[in-house]
Amino acid sequence: MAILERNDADFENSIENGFYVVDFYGENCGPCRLLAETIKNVEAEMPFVDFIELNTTQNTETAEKYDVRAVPTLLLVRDGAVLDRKLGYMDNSELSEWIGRYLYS
Amino acid sequence: MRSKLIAPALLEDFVGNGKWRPETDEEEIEKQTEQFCLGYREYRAQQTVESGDIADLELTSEEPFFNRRIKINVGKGLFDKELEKALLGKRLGETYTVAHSSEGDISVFVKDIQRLWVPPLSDELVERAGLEGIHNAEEYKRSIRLENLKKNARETAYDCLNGMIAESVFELDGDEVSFLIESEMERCRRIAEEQGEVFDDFDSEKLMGVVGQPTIEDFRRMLNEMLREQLSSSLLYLYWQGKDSESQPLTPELINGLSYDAVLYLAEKLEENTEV
Repeated sequence: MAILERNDADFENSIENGFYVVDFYGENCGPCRLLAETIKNVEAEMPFVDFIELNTTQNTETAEKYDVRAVPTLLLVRDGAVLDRKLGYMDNSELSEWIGRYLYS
Repeated sequence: MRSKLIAPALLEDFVGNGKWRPETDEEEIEKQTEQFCLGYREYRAQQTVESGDIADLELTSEEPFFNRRIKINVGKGLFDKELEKALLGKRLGETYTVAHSSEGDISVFVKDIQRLWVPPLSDELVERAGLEGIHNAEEYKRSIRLENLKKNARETAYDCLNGMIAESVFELDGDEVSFLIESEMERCRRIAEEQGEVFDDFDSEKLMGVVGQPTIEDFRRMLNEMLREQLSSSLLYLYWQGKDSESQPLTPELINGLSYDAVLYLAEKLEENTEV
């Protein structure tokens, strides 16, 4: 598994089936860059989890559809349905624990 | 511009004296190197489960939650602490039963065990990365130190510039400062109007959220301090560039731009005077 970049054109198809952690980030956003590092670390420890990143500066349609008003915003999605969302930076253990609560439920 | 720089602090006194030397952040450099190496990680098949391994398991139980195939990072406790503890030391291909304290018996088949391996920084890894102009680990380390220094030089330059402003003598024109303050106030009013709001009617909570000050008066005081600093930075920068400030038209955009240029200029000077 990996961290995949998506856009307005292919985002909906990407999250249709399966469990995903979606990172909505913005350009020139410091906390977004820090969270991106956390995501890389967590993805390395949990390679069986799929991560999707979406640049909200360039993909405003999807950001608006998912009511993303500030970045970074993370969504947990299963089969296209949003299970939970978080705003702001998280460290490695916070992100892993949050994912774990929903991944196996 | 009517505001003047009367007596500038000497650039050499600040840039060369070592007080404003930008430091490299070793922790940040270490983290960046780790992230680089993480990009070339491998998952290596193992025979015995250890904490941190990725285990692919087939679970069988009367409890639906424990009747499935799953992958877990062993020891993180994200699935089930008891089951994960019992996994330690188990072998690839092994089937065993866990007498779970609350869920009854769970049969576990260990289908696969993978262990994360992150390569250390090496000449080979750097060569593989194909970075332009960087061919070995030493060059890579130097390049990220330089990058880190550049970033920190900018932060140090802000402090250094404030120090230079304090040591310089300026004659700031009161009308020009007022003009800059009112321009910024008008900008805030325009932005609020675009959102269907009236800036001057914002309550304390709203003002704190938007401009970081509880009252309009506090905001004006903050602007006064900030814009006087920007005007001073601009005058210093024009002096460093050998340009006459009187011939420059005073606009908020110009002052904003010049004060930022002053920081960049100073950051460059500070970098030049620092060895990596």
